[in-house]
Amino acid sequence: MMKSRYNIAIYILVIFLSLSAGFQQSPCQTNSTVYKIQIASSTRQIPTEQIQRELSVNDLVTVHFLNKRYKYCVGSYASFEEAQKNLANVPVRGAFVVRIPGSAAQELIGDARPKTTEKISTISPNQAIQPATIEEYKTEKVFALQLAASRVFIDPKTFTSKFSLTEEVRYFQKDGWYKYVIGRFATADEAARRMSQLSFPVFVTSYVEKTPVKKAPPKVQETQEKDDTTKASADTVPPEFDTIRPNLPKGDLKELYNLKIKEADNAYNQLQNLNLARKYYREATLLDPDKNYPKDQIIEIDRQLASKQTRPIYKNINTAVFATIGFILVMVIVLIITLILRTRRQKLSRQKQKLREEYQDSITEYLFNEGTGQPENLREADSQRKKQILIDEIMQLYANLSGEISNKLRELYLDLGLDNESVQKTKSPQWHVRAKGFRELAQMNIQTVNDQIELCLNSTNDILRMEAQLAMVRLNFEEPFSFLNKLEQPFTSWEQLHVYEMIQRYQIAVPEFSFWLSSRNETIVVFAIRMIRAFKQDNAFAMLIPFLKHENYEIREETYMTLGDLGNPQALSLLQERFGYESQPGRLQILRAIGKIPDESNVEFLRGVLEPSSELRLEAADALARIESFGVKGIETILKRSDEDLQAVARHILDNKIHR
Amino acid sequence: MGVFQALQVIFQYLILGITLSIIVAYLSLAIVSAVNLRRYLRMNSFVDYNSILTCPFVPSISILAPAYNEGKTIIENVRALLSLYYSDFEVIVINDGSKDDTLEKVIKEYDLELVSYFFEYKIPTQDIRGIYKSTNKSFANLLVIDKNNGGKADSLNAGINLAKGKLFVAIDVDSIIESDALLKMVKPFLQQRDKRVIATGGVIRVVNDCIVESGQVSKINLPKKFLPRVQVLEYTRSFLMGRMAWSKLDGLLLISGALGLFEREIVIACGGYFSKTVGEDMEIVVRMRRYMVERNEPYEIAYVPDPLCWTEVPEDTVILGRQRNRWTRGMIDTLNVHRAIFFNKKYGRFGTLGYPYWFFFEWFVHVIEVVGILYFLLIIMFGKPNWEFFGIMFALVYSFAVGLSVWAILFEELTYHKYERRRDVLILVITALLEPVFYHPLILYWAVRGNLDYLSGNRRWGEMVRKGFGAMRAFLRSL
Repeated sequence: MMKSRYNIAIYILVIFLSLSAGFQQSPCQTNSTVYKIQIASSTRQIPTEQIQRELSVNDLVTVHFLNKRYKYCVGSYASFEEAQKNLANVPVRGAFVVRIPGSAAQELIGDARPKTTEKISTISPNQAIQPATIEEYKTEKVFALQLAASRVFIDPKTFTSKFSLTEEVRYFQKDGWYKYVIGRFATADEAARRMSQLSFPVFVTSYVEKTPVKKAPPKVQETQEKDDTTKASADTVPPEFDTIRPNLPKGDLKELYNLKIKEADNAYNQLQNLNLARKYYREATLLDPDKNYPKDQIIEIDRQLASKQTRPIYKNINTAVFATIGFILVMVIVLIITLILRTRRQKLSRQKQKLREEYQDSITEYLFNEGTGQPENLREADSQRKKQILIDEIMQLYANLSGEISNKLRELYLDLGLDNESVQKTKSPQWHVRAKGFRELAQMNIQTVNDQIELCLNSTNDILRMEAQLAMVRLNFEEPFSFLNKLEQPFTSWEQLHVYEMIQRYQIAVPEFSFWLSSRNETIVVFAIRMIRAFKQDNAFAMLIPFLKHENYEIREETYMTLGDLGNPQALSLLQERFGYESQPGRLQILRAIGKIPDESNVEFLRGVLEPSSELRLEAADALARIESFGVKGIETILKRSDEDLQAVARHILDNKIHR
Repeated sequence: MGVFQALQVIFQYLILGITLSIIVAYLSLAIVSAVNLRRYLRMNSFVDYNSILTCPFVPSISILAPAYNEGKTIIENVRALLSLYYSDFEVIVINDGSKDDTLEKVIKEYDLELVSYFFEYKIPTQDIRGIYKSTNKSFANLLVIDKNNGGKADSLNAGINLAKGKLFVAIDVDSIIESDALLKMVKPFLQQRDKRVIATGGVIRVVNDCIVESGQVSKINLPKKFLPRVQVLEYTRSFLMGRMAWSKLDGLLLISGALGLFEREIVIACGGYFSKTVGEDMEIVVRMRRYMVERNEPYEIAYVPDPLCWTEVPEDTVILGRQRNRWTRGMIDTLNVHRAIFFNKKYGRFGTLGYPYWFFFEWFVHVIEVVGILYFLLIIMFGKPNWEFFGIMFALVYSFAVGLSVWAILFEELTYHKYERRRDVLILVITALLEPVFYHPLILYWAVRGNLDYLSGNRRWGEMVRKGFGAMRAFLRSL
């Protein structure tokens, strides 16, 4: 009924539907686009703690690498509006809302690159921390002295040390060049004057400098707008640390502060609105920067907020894309391989068929037409493959031939040097090649590498071991079964039946198998008993008796069957004696064995088995029916008894239509 | 809001975990199976099954063929069974109270007569009305049992009661058994060493649109219709990848009812087939395994990756739906009855790997799927689905699913290459491309129906059996 339940793989399909759906709504997920507030950017990564310290930011600062710059952001919001609302809480001037697409949402760990631990104060601000770009500028043409220019970025500090400068080295980008300059002059003349004082070559240059005129209402900036921040790199906008403090008398400030703290505590404890509480604490710190309580609270709230923030499940959607492409690629490759293999297989099989027919014709003509010389085309079988086809063909024919013709075929095999092929195989490191070699040598009766074969008699590889056994039975003329003396591995029924078949097929002289009854390998004992039974070796009778009490059931069972088949009445009393000690299957075998030796002395015993209600009755009745003195008449008397079951047994025995 | 979000997160993690584990599990199974299939084929190239035929000490086999309303095909089927290659076997046809002329036809064709056959209800079953044997000596190994209707499991139990073989084969009478199937299946029993082999299963293939002559498949064709063709893929994945790997991992929980070889003594000892479940083929394997573990006896369930049996798969949705619904109920029932195995170390890999795999990937996955779909619908209705993300994820899963099928096609090509025409490979690949979209939703629907039917108590267990239930419960209690 249930043929297959393995609806493999396809299940996942719809699972993923739900998976993809599941990713949508959580505002904290960063696998899709989020909005953050950018507070700074840099070309080299700077630890976020440093950013926090320098910009007096208490919020958790995250770093994203976008457009070749490190962007330092706070907060994470699902919508632009939400981010915009929270912008007011960020104490960095010029901060703005930025869209972080899913592909860049992966947050860089602050200390990922320990080499950038240099102090921020020693880095020129325009290179190090770039506070957020401000939208409205006052533009002004400025003159300066250019020291150097380069296609790649060079740390301006290197010029400071190189020229032993006291002045600050700035740089700006123009036409793909980084230009390094000193000084700031309103006119070209002023610049020229300064140039004349210097001991190294510089020249006057000018550029347009943008300076923010007011704190513009921040707008969202698509980070994709390339280099919006780098363009402004020459705009010396140092981070202005927030010092908004209402100009109020001290007493009022304190009162305001207390009020704020109260509001904040209320939001924190009663409303449990962390964002609101954080806002109030923040305002309180502005009112009284010396108090530690609100700062501590902010840190605590940030900690709580950060722990609530879910870690992204899929940090990078690219993984999925790559995996998909990978699966499709594998699929296509597998398909191509399949088709190539198929074509190749079909081609090879056609070739093989053709060769086989060709070889077969040549061989039969050679064998059966007197006077035909050895066929030339067989000698031309030069490749490994052709030789194998030839060997297989010869082997198949050889198995079906006998007498002189088969000798002629064997000679052909030797003449063609195919025995060398077979011998070579026995030296291969690959087990299946060796096993094939054993088989060929055994069949063609080549004894040259018997030692090699004997080495594999105890191999743990089932096939190799069995092929070695069979080869030895065939090739060891003096003692074909001596391998049994060396065999330590279990001698499975599978191997046994092949050896038995070998004996039959090649009419190998059978030894007295009772010799191996003393083997320590119990599976060999089983084999010996089976062979005694198969070849009716009556001499072994006495030696079998001890095995009636063997602890291994399989050996006992084989002994019962063999004693039954040997038909020696001396076994009867011993079998009857064993009956009491056996369980159901053993008892059944004993009854069958006894049934095979119809003898007067059984009647009493069998009647005893017949009496109690048991499923062994049929077997017992059958055994009784075979005893002449009891026979059918005895069974018929049972029919007259009242026991219904027993009557059924009797009817079964008497029913001639049941061929038992 | 907080609770909702937390639930959402947990849900996402759950789904992600299951999905990844399914991908990993399937890929690992495919690899394990590839390695072992290669080894098997290489070893098998040395095997000559004909040696078994001449051997006097191979175990005797009883073939049990339950038949219910099989009048149209019974004659041919029995003939095919009688002509299987084996030296010591009997065929027992069990007429399970057919309402058609199944019995009459067999009686007439094979010259049967009622006999006074003695047997005992070792395993309780429905009443046996009569036992028939042939007067023709060429059919001496045919036995026909006529009994009251009780379902397949009940019929098999009746067959077991009468069987004489050390081993028995349970088959679907309408499936076509390869003539050397018995030889191939008995081999693991002959090869057993330190572990007792208690059952063997083999590969079932789809026979639709193939040409069958005198009970054997003479020409193999790919089914013309989509529905059976997609089942070809399913069966290939299942038998060549899944079960092959599980047999190596010692986690095989199911031997198809269409063909399986069992040790009779053990089946009797653990109470026979459970006639009250619709998934008796899975249940018996699980119970036999439990029995062996309880007895502390090392054992093995063997698997032969050769195609041994051909079966007609449903071609229309109504019958296929019924079949899948039944499979689902049968599976749940077995998992439920034997829930004690779940992650139970005592049962080895069977308990820690095989059972949990079935639990999660064959059953629980339905639940997840349904919840996922509902969740997805909610998002479409009330939220903002991220279609871009959805598209990529869909592509990922789709390509994985199709990729796995193509891999299975390669397996088939490397092993038994039964479909000869080059076009067949391409047709199968196209089928694989369509399967996730057109076939899978149906499978899910039927599985859901199966779950609901099971929950609502509609387990469609046949009529009450005369004595059956007590022995079974007693066995389960004793564990």
